[in-house]
Parts: sequence; C-alpha cells; structure tokens
Amino acid sequence: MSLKRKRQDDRESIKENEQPVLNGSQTDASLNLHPAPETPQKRRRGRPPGSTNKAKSTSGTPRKQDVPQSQRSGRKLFESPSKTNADGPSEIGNPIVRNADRSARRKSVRNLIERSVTAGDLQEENEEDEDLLARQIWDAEEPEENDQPVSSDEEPIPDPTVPVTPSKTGRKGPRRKRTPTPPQDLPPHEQFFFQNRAGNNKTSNNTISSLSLLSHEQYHKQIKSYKDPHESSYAYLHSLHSRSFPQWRFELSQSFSICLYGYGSKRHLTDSFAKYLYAQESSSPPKIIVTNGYISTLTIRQVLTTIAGVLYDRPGSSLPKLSTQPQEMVDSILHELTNSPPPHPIYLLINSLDAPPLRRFPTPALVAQLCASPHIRLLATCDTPNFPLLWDTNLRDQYNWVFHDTTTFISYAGVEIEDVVEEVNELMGRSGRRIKGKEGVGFVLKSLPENARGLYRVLVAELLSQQDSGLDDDLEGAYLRDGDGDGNEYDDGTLIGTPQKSSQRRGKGPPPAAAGGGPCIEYRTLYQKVVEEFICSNEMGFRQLLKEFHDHQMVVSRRHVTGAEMLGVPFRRDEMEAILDDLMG
Amino acid sequence: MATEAPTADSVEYQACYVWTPDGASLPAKRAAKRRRITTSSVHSNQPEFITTVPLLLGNETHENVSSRSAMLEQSWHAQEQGINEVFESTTADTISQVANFILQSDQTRTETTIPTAFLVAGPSNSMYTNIVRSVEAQLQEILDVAIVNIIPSQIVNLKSAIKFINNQVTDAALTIEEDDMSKHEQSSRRLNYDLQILGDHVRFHSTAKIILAFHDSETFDGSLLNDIIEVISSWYDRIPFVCLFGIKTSVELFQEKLHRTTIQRLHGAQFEVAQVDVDSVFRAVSSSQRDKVFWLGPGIIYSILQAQQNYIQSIASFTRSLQYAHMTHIFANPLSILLKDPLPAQTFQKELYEYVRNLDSFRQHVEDLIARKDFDTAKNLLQDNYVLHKEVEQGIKKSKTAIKSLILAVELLTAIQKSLNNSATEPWCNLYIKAMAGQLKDSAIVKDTLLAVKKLPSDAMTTLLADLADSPLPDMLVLHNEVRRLQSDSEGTEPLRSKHDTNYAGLRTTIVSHKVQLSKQSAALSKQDLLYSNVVDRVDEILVEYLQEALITPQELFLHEILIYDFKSPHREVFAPKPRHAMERALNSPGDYLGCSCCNGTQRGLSATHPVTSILYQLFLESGAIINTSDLWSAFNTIVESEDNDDEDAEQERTLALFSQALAELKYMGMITSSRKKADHLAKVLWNGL
Repeated sequence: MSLKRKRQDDRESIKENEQPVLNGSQTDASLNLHPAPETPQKRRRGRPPGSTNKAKSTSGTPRKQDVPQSQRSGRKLFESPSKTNADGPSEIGNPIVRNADRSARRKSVRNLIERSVTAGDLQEENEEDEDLLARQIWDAEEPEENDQPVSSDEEPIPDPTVPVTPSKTGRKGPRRKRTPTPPQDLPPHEQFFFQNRAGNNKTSNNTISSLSLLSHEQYHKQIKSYKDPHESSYAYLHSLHSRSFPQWRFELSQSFSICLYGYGSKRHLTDSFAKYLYAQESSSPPKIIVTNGYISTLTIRQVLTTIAGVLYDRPGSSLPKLSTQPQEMVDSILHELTNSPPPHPIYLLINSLDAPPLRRFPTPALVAQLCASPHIRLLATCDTPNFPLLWDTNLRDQYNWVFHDTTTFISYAGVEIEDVVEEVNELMGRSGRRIKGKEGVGFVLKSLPENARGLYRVLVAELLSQQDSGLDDDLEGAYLRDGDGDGNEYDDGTLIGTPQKSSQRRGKGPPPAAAGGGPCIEYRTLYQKVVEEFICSNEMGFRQLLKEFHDHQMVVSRRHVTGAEMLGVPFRRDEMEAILDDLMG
Repeated sequence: MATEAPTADSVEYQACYVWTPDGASLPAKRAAKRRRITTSSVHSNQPEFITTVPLLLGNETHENVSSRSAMLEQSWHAQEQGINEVFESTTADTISQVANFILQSDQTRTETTIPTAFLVAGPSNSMYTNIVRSVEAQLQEILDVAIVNIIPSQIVNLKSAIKFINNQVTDAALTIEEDDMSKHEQSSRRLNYDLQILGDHVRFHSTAKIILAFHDSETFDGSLLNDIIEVISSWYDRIPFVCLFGIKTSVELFQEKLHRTTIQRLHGAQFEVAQVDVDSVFRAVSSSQRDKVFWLGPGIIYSILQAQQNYIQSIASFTRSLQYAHMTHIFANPLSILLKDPLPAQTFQKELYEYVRNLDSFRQHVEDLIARKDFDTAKNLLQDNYVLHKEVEQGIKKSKTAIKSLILAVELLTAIQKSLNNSATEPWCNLYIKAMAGQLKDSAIVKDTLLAVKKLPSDAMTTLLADLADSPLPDMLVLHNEVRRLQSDSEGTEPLRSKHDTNYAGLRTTIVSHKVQLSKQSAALSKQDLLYSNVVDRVDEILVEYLQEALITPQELFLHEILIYDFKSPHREVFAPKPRHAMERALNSPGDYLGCSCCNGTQRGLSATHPVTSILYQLFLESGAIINTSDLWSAFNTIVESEDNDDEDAEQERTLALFSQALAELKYMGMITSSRKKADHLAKVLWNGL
C-alpha cells in the first residue's frame, strides 16, 4: 500500500505541475462535485441544434480563459483533503477527476491519431466535431497555448492559434455557404461526393425515452390488427409477376439460373412458382428444394444434405455416407449427377441468397458449382440493393444468371426479419430489452445466490465508473492492460463509491451514447476484482457465475482487437444505474 | 420436428426442405420411405416436358407449341456447335502439344524432376478446364492415365491435398472396376494421407501417368504449393506424376511463388493457348455455312457487343446473350412458327393469318402490289387465307435467300480484304452490323475495297481469283485462267499491272524521267498489261454487280419481322439489371409500381398514403449522415398519423409499430446501422442514386 501511495503522490505532483485546465473550470462551479468526467462529452453534446455560435461560446474552452488564475488555488483547495484523508469520501471523487484528465487527454490524442489514420471512414461523419474538441483539449494542455485566447472555432476566419491543418480550416469557409437545396443533375460520382461531403450534421439531442419503444406483445397486437391499404395493389403485383412463371420455367430449362430482385419479400412468389412447377408436371412432379437463406442458422451443409437426400432417393441407390466437408459433398453430388443423372432436374429455390448465412466465403462458390450442373436449376431471390457485388466474373459465369425485377412491396418483417422489435432495440442500443430490462434483470438476480448478485454489482459498477471516466471501450482495454496494478489502484476507490454518485447524477442530461458498443471490461480485470471482493475464489466458480448471466443474456462478451475477452452488459446507462441501485439497496 | 404435421406457416421458418404441394415439408430422410411408390415412373426416361407455352392468347395448337420448342433446339444447337468448333480449332494445337509433352515425358524422365506443363490460358477459367479435359480424353485413348483436378478451395494444407489426390485417383478407379479387395485391405491399413496408397494403386493398375491439374494456380498458397511439389517429387521414382498449371498472368509471375529448390524439381514447358475473341465466335455463329432459322438484327448485336466491351465479360457470357436472343424470339413470337420448313397448311392457324396481315412488311408488300397495279393479288392476299399461305411460304424462302446472300457478300468482302492484306481489315462484327442495317451498300468500306482490287497486279489477282473460285461470283475460274495465261504469255518476270494502278506507274516514271505525266503512264503499259487491265475491269464489273444486288437492306424485306430478331428490350433488363435503382425507385415513388389511385399523384414526394417503409425511406433520404431517431420518429408520426382518431394512445402505438417495422426493414436492406456517435442516432450506410 505504501508503494502505491507513493506512486499516487508522484502522479499527483506531476498533475499539479501540468495544470489541468479542466479542474480549474470545475472549481469555478465549486458546488458541482463530479462534473469533470462529463465535461468532454458534455461539450460535445451541449451544442443546441441550429445555433452553433451560441453553443460554442458556452463550451468549456473560453470559460477557462476567463479564470486562468483561479486554477491553481482552486486545484489545491480541492486536492488537499484527498491527500490527508485517504479513506474519506473525497478520495472517491479524485481518481475520477484524474482519470478524466488523463482520459480526455488520452482520448484527444487517440482521436487525432485515428483521424489521420482512418481519414476515409465515411461513417464517422461528425468526427470533425470531435476532432476540433480533441484539438482543443490537446492544445489546452500545452503550456504556451494556455496564455493565448483560444477563439471559438465558429468564426469564419481560420483560427491561427488552433494548429489545425490548413486544409481543414480552409474547407470550413465554403461549406458554410451551402444552400439547403441540393444541386440537381449531378453525375453519379459527384453525387457520391456531394452526399458524403464532410461537415457537421447538425442533429438535435432529442432521445427516444425507453418507454416509448414497443414491447413484443404491443408490436404484434398492432401489426396483426393493421391492415395495409395497399393490399390489393400488392396482390396485383403478385399476379403480374406470376404471369412470368412460364417464361421462368422456360429459362430454367435452357440452363439459365434466375435471380429475382426488387423491394419486398419474394418468398410468396417463389412458393407460387413452386406450385406452378408442380402443377405443370403433375404426372411425375419434379423435386423442388426450397432454402430460406434468411434463417440465421442455415448452413450450406443443410442444403447439400437435402439435395443429396433427394438425389439418392430412388431405386438402386442408397444414401452413401457423405463427407462432412461441404466441398467434398458438392463433389460427390456432382459426381452422382453426371454418372446417373436423375430423370428430372432438381429445382433449387433459394430465398434471400444474399442473406448473411449464404454470403460467407465458400458458399457462393459451392452453390455456383452446383447450379452449373444441367440437372440442377436454380431460382434465387435477393433482397439487398447491392447484391451483384457478391459475385465475380467467374462465379457469374457459373451461375449463368438472368435477372428479373420482382418488386412485391410485401414487408420483410416477421419472416425475413425474424424479430422486428429486437432489431429496433439493437439499433437503439437497447438490446437488453430482450430480457425486459431492469425488471427482468432484477427478477433473474433475485433468484440467484448472493455471490452472483455480487458479481453483477461489481460488473455494473465497474462499467459505470468506466463511463464516468469517459474512456471508450477500446481504449479501456488497452489502458487496463498496460499496467494492471495501476488500473486496480485507481478503480479500487471508485468501485465502492460509484453507486451513490451515479444515482446522484441521474437525470442530468441525456446519457452518453451507448448504442452499439457501450463500455466493457476485460475478463481478467473483472475476475481479479471479484476475487478481491471474496465473491468467488477460483476461476471455475467465476466462469459458472458468468455463464448464468450469459444464459439470461445479461452479459455480452466480445473480442477486443488484441484478442482479450471483453465483458459488457446490454443496457444503457440509466438502466445500469437503476440496476445498480437495486443491487445496492 | 419430423413427427408433428408441419403447417404452411412453419415452412417459412425452416431452413431447407423439399417442397410439397400441400405446403407440408418433407425432411429429406423421410422421403426415403416413399421410394417404392415412385419406382414405376422413374425408370422410363421421359423426354423433357415442353417448356414453351401456347401463344396467340393461348389458342396455339399443341403441335405448334412443341414444334417451336423443337425449332429452338435445332436453331440454337447449330450455333452452339459452331462456337464449340471455334474453340476446338483454336485449342487443338495446344492440346496435342500438351499431350505429346506428357507422352514424351518418359524419355526426359530423370530421377527427380517432374515434367510440368505451364498453360498460359488467359483470364477465363473455362479455357483451361476445357483443355485439361481434352488432353485427358486424348491421352486416355493411348495410355492409362488418371487426372486429378485441384482447385485452391479444395485443399487447405498438405495433408488435405494428399488426401484429396489419393481419393480422386482411387475413387475414379473404383467406378471402373468394382470392389478390389486386396487393394482395399491394403489401403485401409494406411492413413488416408499416405501417398503409399497411391503408389500401390499405380503399381496394381500399372497406371502410366498421374496428372495433377492445378486450376487457378495463382491463387494457391505459395508455401503449400512448394510443399506439395516437394512431396510428390520425392515419390516421383514410384509414382509417375505430371503437373499441369493453368496460368492467367504469366509464367514469370507464377514462378515467383516457388522456391528455387522447388523449381529445380520441375522440368517445365510453357504452352501458349491462343485466345478466342468475340469476333471469331460471332463469325462462326453468323457464318453463311450455318443452318440458320432466323438472324439477329444489328441493334441487338450492337448492344451485346457494347456490353461485352464496357464490362469485362467472358466469351461464355457472350454466347449466352446470343442464346437468350434465340430463346426470346421463338418463345415469345407466335409468328416464329412460320419459319418452319416445310410449312404445312395445318400449321397455319387462322389467328396467324390475322397476325401476318398486321405486319408492317405485309402492308408494305400489299402497297407495292397496288403501286404495281396488281390489284387482284393484293385483294386475294387480304381475303384468301390460302393465297396468303402460299405467299408467306414463298416470301420467307425468298427473304431467307436474300439474307443468306447478304451474309455471303459480307464474307466475300472480308475474304477480299484478307487477300488485299495491305488495307486494314474491318472486324467481322462491324461488317455484319452494317450489312444487317443496310448500310454497307455504297459505303466507304466497299468502295475502298473495290478500288484496291482494281489496282492489284496480276500475281495477287491470281491468288484472289483462286480464292474466289468457289464463291457465288460467276466466271471467277475463267478469269483466273485468263490472268494466268496472260501472265505466262508476258516475257518479263514482273507481274502485269492494271491501268488503275497509278501508284506503281507514278513510281516508275519518276525513276525514268523526273517528269510525271499521266498520258505517259498508260502509254507505259504493255500490250499484256492492257489485256490484263481488261480482265481487271471485268472482275470489277462482276464484283460491283454482285454487291449491288446482294447488299440489300434487310429491313425492307417481306416478313423481315419474322426472319430478323432485333429487340433490345428483354435483353438489357435480363443481363444488365439495375437492382439498386429498382429498389430506390420502388421506395421513392411507390406509385410507379403499385398503380393505385392514392399514390399515383403527379407530384413526387412524401404522401401519407405511401407504404410505411417508403415513407421512412424518403425521410431517410432527406437526412444527413447520422439521423436522430427521435426526430425521425416525430416526422414519421406527423405524416402517418390519421386525424380522425379518438384513441390517441392506441393510434400512437400503431404508428410506432409501423415505424419499428419500417426501421427494421431499412436495416435489413443494409441502409442504416446504429451509430455510436450520439445517443439514439442512426448512421446512414447507403446513399441514393449512386
């Protein structure tokens, strides 16, 4: 402990010399105990929609200019109790503040680097916002920059003090003059650049409250009772497409494969086509195999086994023992097809050929090899707009496609999209709603032993404190690993204190973006903490406890870039806080 | 799952099943039980069901439907054969070379170097595959060879590679001679990746060669390839391996994959495979020698070639385009039955008469008759079906002959151009398109060619005339003999000159007197030359006359609609679709597809009557790279909300359900993902109109 203590002191003295600006600004509003970790994000989010100038003026940067001198003293005021009183409550706040400093700086460095490395990332459109912020933080830490007034970046003239690359500031000028109406008649490539142009996408800070999303029951009730006014039109489209059935059959007979595209679910169409095929050759009906590519558990082996089953289903041949390797299965099927061709070709109807299960590497090649055989006729449907990119010239040659536009307008929901509510929840970063959020978790936890609850408490608290410190998940992984001891040292204090704090902070503005990723903690770190708290004594026990949570989908795990296992929970911040409240209470 | 009766509904959630009419699905294993029932019908190898459908509003007779089907078979079959011949003739040399190389590899066989053939076969896979197949066929007549086709995806490591080679060779043998107990027992004791199995097999069957044909060689993992070669070279004294590599780039590039030690183990030879180009394929298809039922017009050929040029497409895709054009004409045009030869009266359904009378070319024909004051015939054609039948029968024959002679004339032109060999020869495709569009007559190409012929000296003329001897041109042989006689009569060794050959004469005069005088030139012509010039004039006369007659405009022929297929429409949609555009259009202006009264307004843009996904898509288009879901929802709600609803909560819930559905659909189509930038934000993945 003494060693730790010393190190901590060292660090603090270094901190003092560095004059972290953020703390200074905090002390200004000295009543506010823990806003520091929020600051970077708050600034980012704090910009009201539409009025950018106003937003920037209230952001942190100019404020710290107003009170440059108060910083040091303020810092000391704030700092002193923590030094004398190690176990007091102020110790709790301190590491967070320190972490925030470190993290803000770290984050800004990382952002700057990332920005320059992944310059072409189209999705990260509002990176530029962060970029500016990152630069501000970075610049603020530089002593010589401190004295100069950092003007807000909203001024049209490029700011000399902000060492932004000239190109960036230069770009800002003309963008401002952008007219709201998009230019007409741009060639496709220009359109691409126009639609992808850099710039702040000003969006409001409104959020959907958790309550307003539908539950499964509500959704199904509503959808069942809903009657689409266009149903007759859909039926008409279907009948229109059905008229092409003879043509499709003819094309298939001429060794072409058919690919149906266009908006809307096409499985009714393929089903009708199967009926048609059956009716046409009713005296000895053809074998028709239907594959639903949108079923997420589908494997190519299932398809191949079904084909083989149909193929060997005749006198004189029994189903041989097939290899488990898909390629070898295809080989033996093709072998059988050429050596003893079936009396009728086998029809293979694939719904959603471009769905993820059929998209992966060997599958398209295998299907192409199959349908290159004259005895297999393929009709496939595709749902995504860019599906032709799935096939190269060789595959296309093998597939031998003819394409038909069969727009049906029939909703994908229900079948192709297995669970609409879940998809929407995932989009909104609320995948935890699957287990009915807080209530569901509470229910599960109640039925678990004390140590399992303890584990979950540690996990949630850990994640919350991590969010407080503003660390992103990727960075966190690296950070925690680069010195396990350091990480622990800082987090020891926060662990106990966090619940109260976070509950205090509830309702203070919107929660930070937790959609998609969310914070997570390294498996080993969590284990160590749990052991330290005497929740479990060995890894076996730890695994068992975790498995329970996995089974209830209360824990999500993913792989970090470095290969470390990261654990998180599928909840947003407010929910996490509520869960933690329950656990503590 | 197999025991409970599956309903039609559950089928949608089944990954893969055998379709049955009652909607129930039969898992593959259960089907085995029903085997005995189907026994009777299965064995009789019935002909394929006719897939053409009755046209003429379904009134077409069954005979006509099936004969159209047969006609397609016959017409496309001939074309296909032509294409195959092109491929065979271009690769024949290489095939025999490779086969010889493999045969002779015995003599060059040393202890460790494996005979290896590198086939530079160009970018197309099929070329190499075909060659390997032909080589195998050719060798199998002489020797007992086993061929193993190795595709990169089939082998992942050395073990799987050897296992694969073992399996392929021994399995292939198994199909020929059934259970071979001794071999089986022996091999069963060994691990299946032991090349000893193959060694035993080779000894037992005295296989002369094991040919390893590597497909797509460039995509093999370099170290794996090195390992394989190393292993097989150590077995080379017991197993007679031969390697074939199909190379798409160049041997040098491929060689970089191999270690120097590996290369030392190979005794290589390189074979260049001649490439087949589109022009020669099309020439084979459209040649006058082919038995043609109908012809493809200039428009469709042009668009097919254009597509071929603009996108990297293989020869296979080109032939497929041609095939599809054939299919379309016979499948969709009821009049194509009239191409039947001979054309019996019962084929001529009464509807067909009306169809023919509505053809543009028929009307033109009748108007011509009236212009010629042949009123009786015109009247009969309009009233008497029998007369019309005869007229059509005659007309088709006549028009067919005309088109045939047109193609012949084009072939003649290319033949002449080839023997002129100083002038740039026009590609066959271009000539064909021009000829079929009726643009060749009086064109610069024809004029230039004729002029060049007139300038030919006697020796070149003899070869040209000899070439043209079996062409439809009259008197070619006579003229040929005459030129030869003149040539032998002349004393000098120099060939005779034509008086049109200004170039040659001018050249001579400059040498003689530095004065260029036109009169002097003709004076310089000897008596023999003048006689020869007369012959040249005759040749020119015949050529001009022939071309004038043969180079017709096919679109003016009677019944050209039946004889020439020239529609771009189904072709473009079927081979060059715009799936993304189709989806965007469907979502952006659903009225285009739905044809309902509510959405078919003239003005574009949002409307509450649109399908919900379409509304959301249009809102999605209006937003930037990231989208606030909350705002998206309120916008959506404003549009969809119906005014006259009392229960506001229920209404909102309903709208929210629709919103969720639309949102999930956009995600399914890969247009949005969740964004981590801000809370409750979506990221746009797809942009409009790109």
